[in-house]
Amino acid sequence: MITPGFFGLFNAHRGLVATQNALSTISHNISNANTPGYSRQRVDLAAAPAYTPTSRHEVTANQIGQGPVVEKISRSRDLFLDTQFRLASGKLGMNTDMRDILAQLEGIMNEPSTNSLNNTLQTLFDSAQELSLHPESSATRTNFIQQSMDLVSIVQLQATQLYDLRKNLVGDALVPTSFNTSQLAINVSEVNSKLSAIASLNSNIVTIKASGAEPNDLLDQRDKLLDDLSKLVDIKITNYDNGQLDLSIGGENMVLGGRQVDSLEVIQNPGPAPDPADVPSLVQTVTGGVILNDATGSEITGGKIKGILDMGGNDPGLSTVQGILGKLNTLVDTIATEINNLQAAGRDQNGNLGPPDLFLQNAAINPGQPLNLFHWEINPAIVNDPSLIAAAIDDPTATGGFAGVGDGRNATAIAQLRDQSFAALGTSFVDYLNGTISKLSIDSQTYQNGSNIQENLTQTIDLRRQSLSGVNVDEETIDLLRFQRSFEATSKAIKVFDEVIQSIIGMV
Amino acid sequence: MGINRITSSLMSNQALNYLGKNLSLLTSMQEKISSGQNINKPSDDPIGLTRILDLSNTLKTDARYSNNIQDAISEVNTADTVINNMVELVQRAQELATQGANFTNNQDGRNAIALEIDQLINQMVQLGNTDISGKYLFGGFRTDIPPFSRTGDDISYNGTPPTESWQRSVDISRGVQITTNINGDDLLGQVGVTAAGPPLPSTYSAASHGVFKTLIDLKLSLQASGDPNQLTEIRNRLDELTTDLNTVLSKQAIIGSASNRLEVTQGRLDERKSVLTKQYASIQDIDMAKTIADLNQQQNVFQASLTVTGRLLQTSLLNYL
Repeated sequence: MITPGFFGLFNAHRGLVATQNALSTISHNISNANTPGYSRQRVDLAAAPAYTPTSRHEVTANQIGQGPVVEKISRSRDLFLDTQFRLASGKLGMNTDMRDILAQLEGIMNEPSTNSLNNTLQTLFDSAQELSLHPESSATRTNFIQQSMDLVSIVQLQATQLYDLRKNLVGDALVPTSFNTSQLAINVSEVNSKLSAIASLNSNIVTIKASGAEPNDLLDQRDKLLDDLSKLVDIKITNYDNGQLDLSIGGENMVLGGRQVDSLEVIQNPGPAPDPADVPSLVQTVTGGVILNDATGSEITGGKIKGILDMGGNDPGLSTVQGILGKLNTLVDTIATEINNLQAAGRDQNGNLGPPDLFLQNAAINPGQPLNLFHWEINPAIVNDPSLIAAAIDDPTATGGFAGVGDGRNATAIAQLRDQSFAALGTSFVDYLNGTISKLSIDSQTYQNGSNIQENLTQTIDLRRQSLSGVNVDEETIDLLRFQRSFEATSKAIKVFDEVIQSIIGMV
Repeated sequence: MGINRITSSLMSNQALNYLGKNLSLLTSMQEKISSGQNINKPSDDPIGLTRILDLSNTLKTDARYSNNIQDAISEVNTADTVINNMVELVQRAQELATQGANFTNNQDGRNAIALEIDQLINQMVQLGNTDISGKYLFGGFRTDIPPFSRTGDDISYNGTPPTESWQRSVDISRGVQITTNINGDDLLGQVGVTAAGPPLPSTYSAASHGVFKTLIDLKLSLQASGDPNQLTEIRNRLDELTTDLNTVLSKQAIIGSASNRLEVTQGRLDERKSVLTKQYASIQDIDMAKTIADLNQQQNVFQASLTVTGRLLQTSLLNYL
């Protein structure tokens, strides 16, 4: 049997091509060993279909191999692991964000410490007690006024810090530009830019796949974008065999194949404004205006954006920023009302009945804020004239209703407010405040634990992914040796064939 | 974990994770040691936090009551001393009255005794006007004006009358108050002379009563020379002085029992303070020795993991080719 003389050369040629492909892929792998999101690629070699020569001299037909052929260059990737990872990553993003915001809240409330609201409250009632023992002394009166001013200033400081935190998270109606600069808006615009990148990758991937090749690096890029996107917001993906990918967020289609059909935006809540019970900003789709976090429940269920929405919202079961502001508001309202009532019912140092209120609402302080909390001040008339504090009660048994300069019974009543329970709070001042702090501490600990658990889970899944898709430089080095030797051997074979052909030609 | 294929990125990520975990453990221990406290932020220990907030509240409230009690004790003790002096004065008046009733004394003798009684009355007025830093003790709520003022033989009481609320009280524990003052009118009385004898007895306003009335009456009786009832009248004053002495003594007993109650309450508060402070420390104070030992151990673990990481990440096949 005689095979065409150049046959061996063609086989060797195929061998060289295949080896060169393999070497290029190996060097691609090695140089991308540290690229995040890179999946290692392998050259799948297969033997080319054998050639059966026909010859009238043959008794039996032999099949002659035709060398290797590169079937395809595949990448090592598991779709299942990817899906698991994205789910876990979404939960991790949410938990971590909430944990961090709750830690900030703990910092603002500053317990346990000597500079806390708790302490200031206690000192206020202590000073009222002191006043009741020495109502004739202008020092104790001034001290009581000073403690009231301290209470107002620490409460307003905390209120402002809380307000700023919320404004940075989700914006606020008082500062319309905050809706574009808030964390929510920044994350949403990141989502949008990733969506458009995914859409353009989609059309390229589909085109290349249609021509029969594997767009491995584009697929890697798209997977990385999907990984990052799932940290921000939970997504639902539909994969098609032709490489197309449909993506929806909160039940609304965002990407259909190569087209980005929608994106997200943050708008100011157009509800009755500014109502502190309103969530200040809404996330809605641009085309169609579907609101994703309306009052009936959020369609966004995971990712950093969910964490921000929750902490910036009004859920009473969670220590939200607005929730704590509301509780502080109720607390200070009750304190101010009770003390003002006692003040109005008592007599000042000169025996006058019903001196002016101690706590006043001044709209010029923090203008525009809806909560009373921001507008308290201590009556300047009383600051200038401490004798206006009603330390004495209106005594029906006394001549003129005024028992005397030594009467401190109204001040005692103020001091005894500390132990009383009030309908608006359901308990005493201090217990109400401590209850709020306690709930905050439990929530904070819950989300710390949650993040830790979720982080471990996410890492475990990611390690599995890396085990499958990562590059092991030692492995690649061995393959490098293998294909290098094979290249040398094939080159040697070509040399031999060359000599054979030369001999054949030389025969003529 | 069942991972069969180890890749370089897997190894480096693992290393980073473990190092990160170790470091965060080290940092939290460092926080505890630097502050000396177990609970530095609420989420460190929510249940412990509730307890220490409650304990701290109670400690502060108790401290407030302690303050009140100290204030009250100083006032009550002053009043006690003053009333003691008053008792001595009344007893002296009794001696003088006995002398005056002795009929062997002549009028000059009785005049001299009357002068001494007059001085005694002035001293009594001064005692009645005792003040602590400008706050008069025996005038009820009218603490800014002296309770007693004397013009001639009239001594008027300017404080809160006993028919009005005059008790100054102090909170010594939740819902419990102690009265710390004595009403001057109850204690010493007042006197307005409408007609001085002779003839004896002299006549007085309806409001006159108490030891002041008796003393003025005694003085006038001693000075009423030539009145046939003089000695009888002086002996009557002696009987009245006995009643007056009992009044003052009974007020002293009241003050004494208030002082006792205050001391006892203070003692209980002191005991409770030491118990609560121990409880607070047991939750909040770190066990310094244990935490430092833990810190050392954790540092060793960290050191070891750093060494292992260094060795692992450096070995590669390429070194051997």
